[in-house]
Amino acid sequence: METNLPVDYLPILIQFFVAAGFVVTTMVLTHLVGPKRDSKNKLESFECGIESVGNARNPFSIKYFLTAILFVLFDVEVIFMYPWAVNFRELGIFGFVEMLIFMTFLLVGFFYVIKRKALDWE
Amino acid sequence: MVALISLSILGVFSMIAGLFNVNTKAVLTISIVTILGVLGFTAGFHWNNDYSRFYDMLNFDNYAVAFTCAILGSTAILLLFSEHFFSNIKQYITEYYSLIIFSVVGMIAMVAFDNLAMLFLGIEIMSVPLYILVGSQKKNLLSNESSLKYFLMGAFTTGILLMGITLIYGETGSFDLSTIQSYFQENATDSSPILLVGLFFLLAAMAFKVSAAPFHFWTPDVYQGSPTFITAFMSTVVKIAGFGAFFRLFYICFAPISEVWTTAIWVMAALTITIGSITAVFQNDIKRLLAYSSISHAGYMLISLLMVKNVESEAFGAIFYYVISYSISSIALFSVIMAVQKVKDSSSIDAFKGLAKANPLLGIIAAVSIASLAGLPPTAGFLAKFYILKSTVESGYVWLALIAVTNAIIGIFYYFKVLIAIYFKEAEDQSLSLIASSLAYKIVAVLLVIGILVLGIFPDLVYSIF
Repeated sequence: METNLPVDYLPILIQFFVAAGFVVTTMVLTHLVGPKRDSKNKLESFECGIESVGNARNPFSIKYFLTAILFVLFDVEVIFMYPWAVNFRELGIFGFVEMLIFMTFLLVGFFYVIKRKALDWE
Repeated sequence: MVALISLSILGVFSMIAGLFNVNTKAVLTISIVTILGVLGFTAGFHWNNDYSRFYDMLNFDNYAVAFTCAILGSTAILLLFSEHFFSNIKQYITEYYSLIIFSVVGMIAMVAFDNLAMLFLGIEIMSVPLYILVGSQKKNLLSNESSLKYFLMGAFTTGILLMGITLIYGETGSFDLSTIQSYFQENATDSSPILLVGLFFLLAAMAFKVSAAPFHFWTPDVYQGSPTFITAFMSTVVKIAGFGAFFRLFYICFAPISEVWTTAIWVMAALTITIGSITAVFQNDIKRLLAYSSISHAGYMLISLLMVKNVESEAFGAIFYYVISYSISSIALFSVIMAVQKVKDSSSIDAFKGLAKANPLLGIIAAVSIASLAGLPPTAGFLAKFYILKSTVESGYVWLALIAVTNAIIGIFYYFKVLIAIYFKEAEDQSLSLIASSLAYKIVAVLLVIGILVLGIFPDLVYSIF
């Protein structure tokens, strides 16, 4: 970066206004131009075609939560495989060994989760 | 490097050991022996033998080695004292060990970092096990509350830390400490606003981790709510690591533009000491009292950041001596609290009435550690404060030294409130005489008391190692 003046950030400012302007314009336009047919069927929330029943804010079993968290955990850890796959040839045997170590620790964690019965439903 | 790998494997080992119902005493022994072995290896192999790894992301120089040894040593002593705490717990004991060890791995990365990415990683690896440990008493409402509080605030601070690192990267183009330092040396006069905002974001995040005012509000609630053993861990080992990172970042990396941040540190140190010691006077719960006392100690340690113009080895010696003396005195006092809590369910100061008569050994440990925390000679705490104040005056911050001395006198008042309860009050019931400690506990406790006194008489053992 040669200069460091506020004017250098002008493109970012313009882009910001264009982005905000697009959102505002489309929202206003659809409300003005679009047809309005207010009926019970139209205003109901869409649940894959099934009629919705009751309130969504019910207490539910903590097990769902645990499973969801563990899913996110392992899901995110597997993302580390992608950069390795892309650079598989360049990293060579070094990368392979590193990945083996990583997978070992991952599987130890998985083993722990299963042995502690965190995934048992009953 | 060896320290990081072997401790990680140790953590995994004790996690798996819990699954197979391995004897928890055996796991504890293996953990302590491994930690002490790693300590010995680090001190013996890396001292005066700079050692960079991972493309200069970690650098085990003498400073990092000293702090690593302090962290490992304090952890080992704490684990040796854990018997009273774990005797009341039935489940998941090895998980406690493994989480503590994982946390220590993060701390080693924190004190040895040479790259801001590694600092972030270290802080995260340290904090995430702590969030769990703080809330480890699942049925206790206070424990849950403090875990949630600590997690929410800690996660938010992590965001601020990352933002600071990003802004500094944006201006200097590097995460590497030496590159950032040389950038500051070249552009010391015209530092841009972005850089300053980044620097103060980092300052805020680090101040949160060491609970310096005005970022200290989480400390009393979290320290009171968490299990006592974890409180001891947080107020000693975590504090060492926090200051290790703080000092490495500001004293070494940001030294060329010290004019920018010394005023902020001045104000923060004065505020931290004053708020900590004045609020501590009104506390009736010993864990809350020690939380405020740890805040005010953090203030004294912050002062050492102001010695940028002093000789480097002198400043290193002063902070390291303070950290060591604070840590061993606190651990000794917490070992007494854990012993008392085993027979009494409360942590109020009244629970300690008549302790000296019922159990003279615990009385002596408490007396020496409290004297050291209050800063009375001939204990280590006295010289720790002395060295800090000496260099404060030498650096020209006379007013700050005056504030610190005034608060040290207030400190004597609230520390002695505990001591009076232990020595001069009559016990309400006979439960205190039921405390039974193992021989190992007694030996370690006596060694610790001797250590506090020896450090106070021969300070050069620690003060002039750099």
